[in-house]
Amino acid sequence: MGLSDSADTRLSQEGAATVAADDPAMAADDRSGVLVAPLQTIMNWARGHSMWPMTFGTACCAIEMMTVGSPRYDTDRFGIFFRNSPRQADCMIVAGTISLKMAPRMKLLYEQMAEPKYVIAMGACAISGGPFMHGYNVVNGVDQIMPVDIYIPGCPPRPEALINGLLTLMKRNAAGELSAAQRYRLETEGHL
Amino acid sequence: MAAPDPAHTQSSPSATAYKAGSGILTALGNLVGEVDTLGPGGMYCAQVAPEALLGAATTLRDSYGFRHLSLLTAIDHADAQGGLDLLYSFVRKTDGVEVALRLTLAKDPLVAPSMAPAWPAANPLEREVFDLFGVRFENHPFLRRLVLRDDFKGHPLRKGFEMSPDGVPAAASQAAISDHGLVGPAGNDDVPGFPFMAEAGGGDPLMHSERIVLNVGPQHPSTHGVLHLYVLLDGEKVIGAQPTQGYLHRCIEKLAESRTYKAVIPLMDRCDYVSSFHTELAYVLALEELLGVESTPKADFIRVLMSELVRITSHHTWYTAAGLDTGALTPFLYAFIDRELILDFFEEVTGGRMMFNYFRPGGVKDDIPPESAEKLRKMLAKFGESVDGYEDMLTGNEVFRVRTRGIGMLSCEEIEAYSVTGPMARGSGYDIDLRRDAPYAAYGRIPVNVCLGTAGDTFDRYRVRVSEMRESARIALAALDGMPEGPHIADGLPKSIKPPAGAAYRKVESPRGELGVLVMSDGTAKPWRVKVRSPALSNLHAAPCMLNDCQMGDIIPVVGSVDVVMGEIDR
Amino acid sequence: MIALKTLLGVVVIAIVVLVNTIVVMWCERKWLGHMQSRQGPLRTGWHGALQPFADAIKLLGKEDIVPANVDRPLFLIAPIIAFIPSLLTYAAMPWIESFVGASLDVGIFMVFAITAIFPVSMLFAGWSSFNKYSLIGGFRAAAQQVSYEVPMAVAIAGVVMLAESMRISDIVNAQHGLYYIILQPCAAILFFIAMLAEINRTPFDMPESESELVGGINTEYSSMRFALFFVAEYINVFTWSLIFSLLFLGGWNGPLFGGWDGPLGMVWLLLKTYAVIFMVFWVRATLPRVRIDQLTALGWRILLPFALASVFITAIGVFTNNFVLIVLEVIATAALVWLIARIGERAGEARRSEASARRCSDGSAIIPDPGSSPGSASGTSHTEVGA
Repeated sequence: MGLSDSADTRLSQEGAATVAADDPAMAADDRSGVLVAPLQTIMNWARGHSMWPMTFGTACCAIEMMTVGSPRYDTDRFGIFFRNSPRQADCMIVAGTISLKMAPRMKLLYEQMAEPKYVIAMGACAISGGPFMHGYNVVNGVDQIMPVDIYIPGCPPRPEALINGLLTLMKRNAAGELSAAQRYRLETEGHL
Repeated sequence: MAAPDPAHTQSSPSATAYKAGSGILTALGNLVGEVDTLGPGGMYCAQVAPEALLGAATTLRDSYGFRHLSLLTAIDHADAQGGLDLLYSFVRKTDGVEVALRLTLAKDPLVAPSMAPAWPAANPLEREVFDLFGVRFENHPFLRRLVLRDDFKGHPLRKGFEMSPDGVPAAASQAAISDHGLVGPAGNDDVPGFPFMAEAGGGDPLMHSERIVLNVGPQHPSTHGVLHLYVLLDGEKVIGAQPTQGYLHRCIEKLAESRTYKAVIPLMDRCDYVSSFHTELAYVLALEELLGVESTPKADFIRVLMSELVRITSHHTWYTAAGLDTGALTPFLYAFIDRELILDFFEEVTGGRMMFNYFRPGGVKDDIPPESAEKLRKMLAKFGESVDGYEDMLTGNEVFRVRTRGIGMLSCEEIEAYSVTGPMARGSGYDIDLRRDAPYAAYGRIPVNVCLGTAGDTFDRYRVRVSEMRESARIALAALDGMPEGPHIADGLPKSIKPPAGAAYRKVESPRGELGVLVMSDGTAKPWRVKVRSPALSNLHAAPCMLNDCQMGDIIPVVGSVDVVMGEIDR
Repeated sequence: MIALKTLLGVVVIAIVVLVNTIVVMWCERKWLGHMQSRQGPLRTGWHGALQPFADAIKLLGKEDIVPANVDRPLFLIAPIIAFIPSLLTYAAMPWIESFVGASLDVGIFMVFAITAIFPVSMLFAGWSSFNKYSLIGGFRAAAQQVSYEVPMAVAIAGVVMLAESMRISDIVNAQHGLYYIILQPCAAILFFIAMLAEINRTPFDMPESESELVGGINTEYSSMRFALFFVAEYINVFTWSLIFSLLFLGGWNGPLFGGWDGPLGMVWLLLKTYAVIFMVFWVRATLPRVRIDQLTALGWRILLPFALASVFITAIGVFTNNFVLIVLEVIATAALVWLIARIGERAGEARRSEASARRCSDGSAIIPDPGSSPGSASGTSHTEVGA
């Protein structure tokens, strides 16, 4: 994880073109030397059907994040199942404003997650600082600190939007696309 | 439901209350200086000298019964000497009279006497003033930054504090992640450690135990956001606890100073994000008082309706947490079914599910569509059954009862010492409710039943909130039925608001207690100071009392019964 | 040849167990979902039937993190210690008379001995994780196990006395026509409660206590190692439900599908097992979690005395007749249920009444508590709330 070392970790949306599973870059994956293609297919299927986000809610968006588990939205249908421990979570939904005091904790939690890991920036605050972006204590977008896979606009986004974001992420996984962190490492360090 | 009163007046605290306040301040004699009012409709305020502050405050408390510290904040003069005013306000429970003391610190260094040793409620509030304004409080037991990182430079609510126009630069954010900012700019000595931490390490000699410090939060499944508790444990026994906050400090009060009055309303929404209408309402009431305008009768009823509905959704969220905290998942799912129905109504009326931006000075933004009102009426008529369902799930549940009854006791003395308000106070049988005691909007015309507990344990706080859900549904239905015809917003208000110079402090009964907003104007289009009095902040700092002789497993349910919303606590 | 046959048997039994475990996982999410007016997994395979596979395969592909500062050998071995014994139990577990790994004379004893290893793994995991939450979880697991193994073992003594054998198939065959849940209702309830503690299910999910301890013992585990804990937990759910149906619900006995020791008796056994599993999940959807001291108090002060009483009653029943046994057991059961309900009703009553007595309110107590005596709930006009 060389992320924190670099001053500029912001990934531009255009610059980080998605790398598909059949991309030669996949050859750099140290696992693909061992894993044969069908196994990769099964793994992609599993990652596309099981997504355990971590319960990381800081502000208003956290209430809407709770709501997606409620009967009307019921993310359990899609295999989305909230885990408390970062070690077992696949993706971190940054639901809310990140203050300078919270930022090191968030970074720590991110580093505690097991690869492959994904980050969803939920809501205006997580994307850019939102209504508080001019403040003296608010991180202007979590992508300044960690690579973000999915941005979900809104203040707060509707639960449907969050579900859409999660499903988009799962579809990408099913297609074997790389996570933002992997793309970043591929670009900067040349390996996954 | 009584028919709406044709001779409707703005339901601000009655004029007699203010007179009494003036008399009491004068009676303090040479403890205080001149007595004036805060603003056009505002309360009486006495100038007090630093050395007389403690005497005046304790006299007010002990001789006159002003036991509730409602407000403790500072207002920057922005003069060359760097002076500021400290503003204290006290409330008497018996008649709701509120008086204020003003302590002027003329110049740097800003040093004021601390009320915290005599008045525990002042402890976090003085820390907040120290943090944001840089006032040093002498004899404060634990003067450490409350919301900002210990290595933060400057005191942001001072007028001289320059905010970068683009916010925090990326480089600063990235630098911030390298450490937790627990060390002050001048090194470790600058930051006092938590008082009870001195006892860490020592344990029960009989059991050869060793005490451990457990960090609960800021990322923990059950801290309701980003609350952080330092807990000192001896085995499973809680020896001491200290809430730490500031992980969601979003500079709302500072940002409000750079926005026009109407543009502050969305910020208020995000302050208490679980019951947005209440912060909005308190702000709009204060603004109306400054402007000298009145909202229309219909708008008053709409405000009551919305306040009560949002109270229900807030209690839904709390009820969910009450179940989850003790390990029951099912209540969450059933409560959120009903919550969604109310959010649907909000969405139809205001366009937002959680952030409404709906109240305006003089009224509300839009009228309620008739078909939505009809749907809501049907829903509310059946709401009692839903609450019966909630009670079925937890009230009689043996395990829930053993987990909550007799746990997390809060006595009335502690309630007064820590300025605890809202359902937490009512759970101990402390009979306060601003909707009844100081009616605002249309509450004066709708009878409000106050739900009281007896023992002041977690279970009673649970019972109070569940009963309040029923009561809120009843009030909402009454407001819907009694809603008069007429415009939903007063005519003739200017597009850009420039209230005359002065201050107004208005309070509403939020789901967490007494939520006040102080708005101070200097006559320009932007407020000079906006201060939100957070009920959950005071309630939260009473939590260490409640955690006395509790166990590790009790921490979460007990703190959950405070019903914290970090957005409002940290602001 | 014998070795090959044994190996084949082991593989078959392991497959049967693991398939059932997957089904149990799926059942939990579906049943819990429907109890909570949700639907559970729906998109992965038929009604989400492949969801457990997706979860497991995904976990296998995750990074295996061994945090710094952990007690490495213990940390690495703990999930294995959790997993192996949970499968090993099936060595002595009969599915039907003729389908059993080893029909031991002391079968039930052996099952108990092996399952007692599981908490050791949790203690290892908690101790080695270098995480305070894990540590507390590990200690809780140990305390819980000590408190509940004893009443559980005593509760089974009655069954063994009636069957006059510790061989599980003998116990099942002794239940021809009259299941022990009828002869031993008190012991069955005690066993069920203790079983919930044994498999760490709500209301006794102390080692994990998700809302308090984040993830408890497995907070620091990721990937494969977490999956082992996860699977072991569900194997245990299945194991204990199976034991419950063998000991109290007559095992493979039943009127149809080759019941009464026919080869298809396994259908009966599985039906009964899944009924018990349903009960376990039902309890999970209903009850919050008790506190650790309340849990141990329940174990030592209530379950153990009642378990001893049940053994005593069984002894009387053995010397008299079944009718006396049933009557006495039903009385004991009623007393047990009454006592547990009363604990909930009167919980914290002393502290509450003391606090109520010195409350400062100038109004009076308003909200009537359905549990306490009606006398305390008097209302004043301005604050009355509907009962």
